[in-house]
Amino acid sequence: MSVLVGDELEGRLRADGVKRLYVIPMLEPAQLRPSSIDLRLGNQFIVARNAVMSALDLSAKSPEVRKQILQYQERMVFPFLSGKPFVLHPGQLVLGSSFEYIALPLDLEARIDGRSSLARLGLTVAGALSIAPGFKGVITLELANHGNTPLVLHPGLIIAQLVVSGTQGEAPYSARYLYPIGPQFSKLAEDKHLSIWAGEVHSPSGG
Amino acid sequence: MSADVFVHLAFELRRKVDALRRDAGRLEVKDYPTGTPLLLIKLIGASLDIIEAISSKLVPTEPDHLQRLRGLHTLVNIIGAHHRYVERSVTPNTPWSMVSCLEDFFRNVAGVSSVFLVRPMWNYNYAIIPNLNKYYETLISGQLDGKPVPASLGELPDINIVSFPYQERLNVVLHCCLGHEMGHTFWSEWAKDHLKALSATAQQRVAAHYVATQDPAAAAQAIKLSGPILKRGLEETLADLVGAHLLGPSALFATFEFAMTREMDTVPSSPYFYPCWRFRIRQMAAFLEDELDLLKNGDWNSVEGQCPKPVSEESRCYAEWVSEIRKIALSREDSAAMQGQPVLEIVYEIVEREIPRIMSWLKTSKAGLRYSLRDEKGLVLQLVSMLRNHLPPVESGQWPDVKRADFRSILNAACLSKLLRIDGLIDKDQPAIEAQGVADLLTLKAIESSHVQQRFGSLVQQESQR
Repeated sequence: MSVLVGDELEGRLRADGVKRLYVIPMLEPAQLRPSSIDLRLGNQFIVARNAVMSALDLSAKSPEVRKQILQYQERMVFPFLSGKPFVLHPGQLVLGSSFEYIALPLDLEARIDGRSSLARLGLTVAGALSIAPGFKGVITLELANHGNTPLVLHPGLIIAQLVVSGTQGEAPYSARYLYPIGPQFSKLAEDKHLSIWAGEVHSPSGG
Repeated sequence: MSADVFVHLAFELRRKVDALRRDAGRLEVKDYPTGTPLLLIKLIGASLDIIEAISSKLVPTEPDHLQRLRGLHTLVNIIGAHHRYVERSVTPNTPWSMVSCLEDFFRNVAGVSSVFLVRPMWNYNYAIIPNLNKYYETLISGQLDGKPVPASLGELPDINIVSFPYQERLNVVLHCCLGHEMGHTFWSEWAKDHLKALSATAQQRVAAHYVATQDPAAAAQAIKLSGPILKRGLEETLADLVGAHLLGPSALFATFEFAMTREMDTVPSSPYFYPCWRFRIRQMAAFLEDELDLLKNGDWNSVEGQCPKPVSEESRCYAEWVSEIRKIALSREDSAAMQGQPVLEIVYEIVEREIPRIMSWLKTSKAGLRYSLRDEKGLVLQLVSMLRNHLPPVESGQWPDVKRADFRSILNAACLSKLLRIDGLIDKDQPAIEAQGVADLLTLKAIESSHVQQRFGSLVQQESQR
């Protein structure tokens, strides 16, 4: 299905009931663009604690992966009125989130586009490639500084665009991330197949 | 004592102050939700400067200076220990999404010359320590032989410490108990016109009662007790009513949640003489009578088209809560528990007689601070609807003409939605406790969003239009 533009996109923001697209709060109407909605940077970040980990073994046993991920990363908060910015250093990858809480109706999906004006300064922004119909929450953004200069990021900065498309039919939302209000830690440990590749489950034929 | 001891004590004082300054340096660079903890660091620092200046003028040859040096040690110990308020108020220890909103609200209520530091404590309670600046001034002036305290303390706003139980930091609706703590800041304003006369009446009536007993010792003891019992009874009741005035039914909701874990009819006793919880709930329920009527008899349909629940269940749930509150309030078991204790009976008769005047004083002199659920009912209904749909309850209406919700409406909606959740009427797709956790976080998100909109929304729009 095609990307929602103009009146169609605005109409979904104005719609009643189950057809409504929520973007809460929009600080200004100008956040609505012809074919997207500007999203601001939230004030929570998940950063790596490199000093405490030698490596992150992605195929370790599930509880171990979960523990490692929590050990490897920590949440930091930069309240809006504290005036303190987040500094993203060259080569650093962190998880941030949109300030806006998004609620997609069951017949719309969305994707996140970074801003070219930020990319030209070295900052790349990626969200989930596709945000499923029915998703509700702030959107976790992977932020990386590919430049040579530390970048000072103030919560509230317009960081990305939400591009919304229609779907054919409706599907109930059944994903791992329910109603987040800040960036979410990876839930890789919930992958059912990890145990196979970690050697915990052996082939019945022995081999 | 020898001069050696004086020199040693003076050395120790300088060392202690130096250690506290280094603590301050360490604390200054921590992350806080607002700038208020840094103001407290400054206040403590300014106090230490004054104490050091006083100590520098003490000499071992003066007979009383050793004692004064010891006094300064005590001051440093007391004031320095207040760094703990700063240390505990770092961002992750607080409900940071609502701290700046609360601080702004408290400041508006109390006046712009005051600031409020919201900090957690392990004690399961809410509390307020008013005006640390004045406390420090009093402590320091005792060491100045009647000379005025240097002006540096007065350059800072009055700092009040507001405490909440750490383990409940995300239990956002319980924080409506802070309305009561704000009420304590109203006490002196009310008490200066009324307390003296009421205390005299209480003493006279207690004395008259004991005349017949012909037991002067018991009479003296009873008269002595009447003062603190009366003061505590009036102050706590006034603070409860202020909480209800500022925050509406959410204040009663939180007080009830707090109270229901305790014995309702424990009579006031030494050393604090707190009133019975039943008595307090009765007064709040009476003050909020109109709002409770609205909850009991109003149509509270927050159901949007897609929700299957019939309207009546939601209204019934609120009506039952009101009935429960009124049932508790109607019982006079607290009065029965006080029977046979003449001081309590006499004093509480005076307190109860005074309450309509306190209510009237609030409704007239503090009318501008009142939160009215009746006025905000439509908005609150929409916010409850947002919570049941797992959205932050922050606005109503159709974009772009949305109405931003004040944090008090958000809190009232959160309380109502909690009643629906406990009753099993909403969030059936999730375990109830998990669903409550989600609702708490959505409420915190809403409070933060509302506050950011309030502080930055118009600025952002003005900049866009330039």
